[in-house]
Amino acid sequence: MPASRTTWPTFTTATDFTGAVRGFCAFLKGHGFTVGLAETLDALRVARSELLHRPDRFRVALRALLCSSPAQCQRFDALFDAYWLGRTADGNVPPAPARRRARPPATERTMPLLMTLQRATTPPEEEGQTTTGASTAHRLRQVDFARVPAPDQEQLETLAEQLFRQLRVRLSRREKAAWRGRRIDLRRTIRRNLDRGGELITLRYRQRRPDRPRLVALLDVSGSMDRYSYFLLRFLHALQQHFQRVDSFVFSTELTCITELLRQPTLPESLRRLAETPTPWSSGTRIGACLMTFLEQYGRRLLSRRTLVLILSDGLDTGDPALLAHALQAIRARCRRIIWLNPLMGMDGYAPLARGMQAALPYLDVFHPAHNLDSLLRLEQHLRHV
Amino acid sequence: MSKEAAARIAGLMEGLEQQGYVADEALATVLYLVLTLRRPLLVEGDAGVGKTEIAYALAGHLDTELIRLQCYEGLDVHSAVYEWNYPRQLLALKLWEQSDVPLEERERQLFSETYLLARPLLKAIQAREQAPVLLIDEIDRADEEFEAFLLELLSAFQISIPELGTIRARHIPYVVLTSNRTRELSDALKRRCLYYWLDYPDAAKELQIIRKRLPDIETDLAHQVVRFVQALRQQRLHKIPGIAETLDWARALIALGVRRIDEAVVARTAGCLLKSAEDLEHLRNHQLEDLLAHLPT
Repeated sequence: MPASRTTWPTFTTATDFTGAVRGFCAFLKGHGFTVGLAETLDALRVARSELLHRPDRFRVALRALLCSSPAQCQRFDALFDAYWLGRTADGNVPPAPARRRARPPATERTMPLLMTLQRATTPPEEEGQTTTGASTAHRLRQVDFARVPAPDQEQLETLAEQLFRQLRVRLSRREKAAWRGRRIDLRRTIRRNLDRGGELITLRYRQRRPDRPRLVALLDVSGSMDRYSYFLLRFLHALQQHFQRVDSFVFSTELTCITELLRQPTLPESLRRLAETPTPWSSGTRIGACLMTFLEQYGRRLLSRRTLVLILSDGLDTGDPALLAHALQAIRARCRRIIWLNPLMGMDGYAPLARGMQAALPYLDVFHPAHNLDSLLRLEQHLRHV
Repeated sequence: MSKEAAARIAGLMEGLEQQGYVADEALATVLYLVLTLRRPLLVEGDAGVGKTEIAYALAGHLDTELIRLQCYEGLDVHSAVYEWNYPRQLLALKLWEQSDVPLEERERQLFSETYLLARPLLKAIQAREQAPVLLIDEIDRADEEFEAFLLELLSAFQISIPELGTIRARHIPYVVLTSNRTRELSDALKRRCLYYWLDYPDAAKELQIIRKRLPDIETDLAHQVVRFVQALRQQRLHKIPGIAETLDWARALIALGVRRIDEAVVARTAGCLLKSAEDLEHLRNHQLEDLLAHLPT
């Protein structure tokens, strides 16, 4: 901590200082911190309690008041220095972060997921704009992830976040009052029957939702699939609470486990970590081989009768279709349901003719498109009834 | 006033240490704010860094009751706040069958405090003598609905029971919430709370903790333990050992009469530190020599 026990800028009057504290709160607010009136008032109380005679204590106190995540705590120190001590590590005033979403650092081309994260790489074609629809939200829900017009990208992500959140809340209601069911709701039963002298005549029940399923997601990140995988990842991140456990993998020619990365509580944190992880990538996909690897290394631990297996791929396999069929058969025997998401299903006149897809079809429980928000949201029905 | 604050912070540090909890000045300052501003404290950090211990130490220091609510998925009002004692209520109904107590009176009695089972949150509100420390452990495990309910409680410190009316806190409890960050908490809840991020301790602090908790340990061994664990935490592990693990390991080493940590010792006792087969395997195959090489001689 560079600024502990350094000299304090002098303030001539108390009003000066009050203003300075208020200014600091506003300064933090400008940098994306949630600082309201209540926080500002408490900050002033802290300031008046003369904790500030020791800058390090004042810093700690304000940090506890105004931060709410480890990431904010880290940024706080630099902002504190900049404001109160008028300096930063490199001697400049830190630039105001324009957006709150984390931008992953630039990296080489060998990480396909990064290409979507950075967005700037392939300029999307303008086709997406032709979608009809009354409102923007409606249009965005229909737009193909791979053809999102650049100006819409941010808006689409905000919309996705909002819709996924609603979906999660819908799925999360676990117990509800009911007329019939297994568990008797004693509280309501007694209340109801009091006027019958305490004889329990009418029963009231509580119903519990079935146990939460486990989910294994295997995402193709080769070629054009990474754009779709990116949105599916957002989808899964939002729904993590709905599942007892979510394990995620990305594959192209090799399989990589990204479970831990997705467990970060906030999506930007997940994506940042993901961007730092080297993902194996070269042209072509070997779904069959990757699924076999999954079976051998993780199958025993992750597959059970309560596991949903979600595979996202276009099925354009450069490997052996027989191997893919074999792997899917083995997985199917040990899981609850295999859901295959194919973004190409969004195209008019698509038929699953690719050899890989042909080999896979007999083993799938659900074959579902995943090219736009609407198709992802429609997945709810398959995730709910397990 | 300035002197008073500084003195109270110093007093807190000392008091917590007497409870066996080593708090640095930053934590003591935050706890001072908890006591003066009367705001709840949200402590986040990895598992095993001593989040829960803060509440116990604080309660010990203040010489007050600690009330703990362990959160879990599906936690509801009946287990967290209150529940009517149904068996007793039913029994009472049966007993009254022959009596001529009027119905209104029966109902009034049936839903009186006699038949109320107070769960942790109600208990915390009802404390008579002095403000208790209310520990709400692993809030990230509870459902979002419960979080919303908690938010209401933490702003008003009152609980309304439909059959009984509103119960207001006599003494506002000191609230400590902990979270392992398995999910993001709601902004509203975070805004109500003071925030403290508890990290793994640095070497000096960890040494202090070991000495505090295990006064019998030989200085040399304590140094080795700390050095080894600190280096181990830098490795890629599924589960990074926390302070509890360090203490367990140190206890094991003392019990075995170990004076110097070597490969054989680690092989026999690594289960105290690492709790997964993959991590143990990883340690055996890759890291052990490196880690041992860094030990002080």
